[in-house]
Amino acid sequence: MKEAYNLKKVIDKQLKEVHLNAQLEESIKAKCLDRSTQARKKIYSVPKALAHVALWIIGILFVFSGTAYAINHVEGFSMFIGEKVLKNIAPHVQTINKEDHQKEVKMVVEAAIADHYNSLLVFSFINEGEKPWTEGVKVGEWDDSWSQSGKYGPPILSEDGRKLTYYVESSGNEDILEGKKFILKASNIIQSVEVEEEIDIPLGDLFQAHNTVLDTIDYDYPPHSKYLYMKLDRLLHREIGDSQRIVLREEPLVTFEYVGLIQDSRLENPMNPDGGLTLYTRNASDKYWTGTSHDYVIGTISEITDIRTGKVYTAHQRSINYDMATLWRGSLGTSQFSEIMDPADIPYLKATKVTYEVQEVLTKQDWKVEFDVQDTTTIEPIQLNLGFAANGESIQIQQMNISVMGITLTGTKTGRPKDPKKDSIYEQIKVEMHMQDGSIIPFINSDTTSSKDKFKATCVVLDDKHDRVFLDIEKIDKIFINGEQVWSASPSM
Amino acid sequence: MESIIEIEQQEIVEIERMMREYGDSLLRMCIIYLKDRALAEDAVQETFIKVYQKYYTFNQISEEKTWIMRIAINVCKNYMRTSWFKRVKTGLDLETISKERIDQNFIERERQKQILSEIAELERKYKEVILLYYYQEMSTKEIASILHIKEGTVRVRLQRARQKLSVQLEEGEKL
Repeated sequence: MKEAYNLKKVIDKQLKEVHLNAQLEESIKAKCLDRSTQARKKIYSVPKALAHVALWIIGILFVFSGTAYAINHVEGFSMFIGEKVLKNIAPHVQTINKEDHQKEVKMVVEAAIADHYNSLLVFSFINEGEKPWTEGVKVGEWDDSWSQSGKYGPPILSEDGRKLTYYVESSGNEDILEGKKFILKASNIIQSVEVEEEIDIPLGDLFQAHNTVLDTIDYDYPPHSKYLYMKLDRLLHREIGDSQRIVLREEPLVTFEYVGLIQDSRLENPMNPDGGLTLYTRNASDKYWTGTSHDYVIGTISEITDIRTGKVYTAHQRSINYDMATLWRGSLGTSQFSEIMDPADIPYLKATKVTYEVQEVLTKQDWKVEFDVQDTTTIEPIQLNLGFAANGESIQIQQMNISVMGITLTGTKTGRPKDPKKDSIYEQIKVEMHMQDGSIIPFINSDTTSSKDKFKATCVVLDDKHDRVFLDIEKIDKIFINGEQVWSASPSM
Repeated sequence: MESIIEIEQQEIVEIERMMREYGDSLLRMCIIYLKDRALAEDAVQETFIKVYQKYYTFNQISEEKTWIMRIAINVCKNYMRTSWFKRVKTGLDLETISKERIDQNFIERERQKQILSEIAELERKYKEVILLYYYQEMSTKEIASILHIKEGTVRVRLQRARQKLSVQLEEGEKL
């Protein structure tokens, strides 16, 4: 007979002097206040195929307008990043070509690019059955060995409906460094189908209940001010009482939550590219949804009508927003009507159609592929000894890794930020590369992770549209960090 | 409409409350989970930052504690994936974690330390259900929601975890 213990008492007794101390509490509060800037930065590491990303969300935005699915009928990476860019990085693309064949559908891991910390992967599903797939087909669920840092793009279906191709970016993944095997598992091929239903919901009461007009005081901030994004973020996500929530569908639950009016047409936010009336629906599922679950339903308001004139407005853009990287519960649907800019019109409008996206399972099956990804970086890691200190923090950059995907800086850190309103030490690292043709290209710190005394900063290059640019590393002449030359292509360095 | 500054202040007040309410037990759980006090402090810090960041998305239908534990478990899992963690971590060293002399029978104290070491050395999937069930006193339903697994799976894992321990664990106040 085993002795019996109360684990709670044992832990609390053995660790009774372990407390969240005042210093740690202050540090947490300071970092909380500094949070939104960092959160916003992370999206810059999203590749070209994922350009339609909510600016403050690490999740992926699927846009139904059709513009998001520009199909290029070229194999592998060129489907997502284009032939021109692929030319620069072609020597670094490794062919994987590992497959799992089940029930007339074959999953093939095609190719990868990897450096010490980052990887890009293309994989596809080949339909060998009688019936070709049509638009809206996708894989039901993922299970993989790098999902915490992976970012998935919307899939591309071939013209003949026989091949469905995915692109995945993984940033800061040390599995590569450790030489670990990658494992990709997938379950079920599903098809999204849109189902339209008529509704009759006046917008006036919902609008009055939440007063969701972006007030003009925010216009004093520059367009990319974190305060403006925080405000919009709150408009999108704040919780409301049950009495103010209109149930559109019971099982699974879909609700019409509130009516917002964004009057600032300068916003470049993909949620509200033109401003105007925006209607928000929600699927408040308890599931940790990755956007591909086959039993998940979300609806968006697709049509409104002016009761004074009978004029019908169709949403110029509807989107579903979800966050696979953190813990956003359920998902949000937004419908935008950019013609409606005056709050005085809203009491005379009613929602008249809702469109649901539902999933049908086409092939119920699991696939699994194990494969290796090699680090194909041609430039050896560069050892550095650069120290920077600011705002109570200090870092020592010890190593720089250069690859076609960007630059990764690693090193040690001490201290904690004193003033949360000031930029962190990582913001103050300015990396530039001088090309052989004389041009100077700045890097942007896209992602920083740190443990207690170490850090890793990923720096990438973006073009004018904030799309990821892959480096033509053969043409780099020199690299500078905060004005100090740290690398040169010439052997004298 | 509230200003951003006012909203920030309210949320910081809420974070302070949550730190008071859950901070110590979260830190202790993370120590057992990660077997390292410094890493556990970082994990707790990251957990509360995520709580702050997602505070306004928190739906009251979900229990606050469940929500926070879900974040904490995911943060710990992330830490365990890093090569730094894998290189450094060996075992739970209560002597370095707990400097204070504990006035209790030596044999009993050693026994309790052994229990914690046994739990710390469990496979992750067993360790997390044990910590959530017996230490955080959460129901199997809540744990299923936190770990995104079926309630039956939670029960099976609890059963298997108990079999691996040299002692029997008493049910807490929840039952």
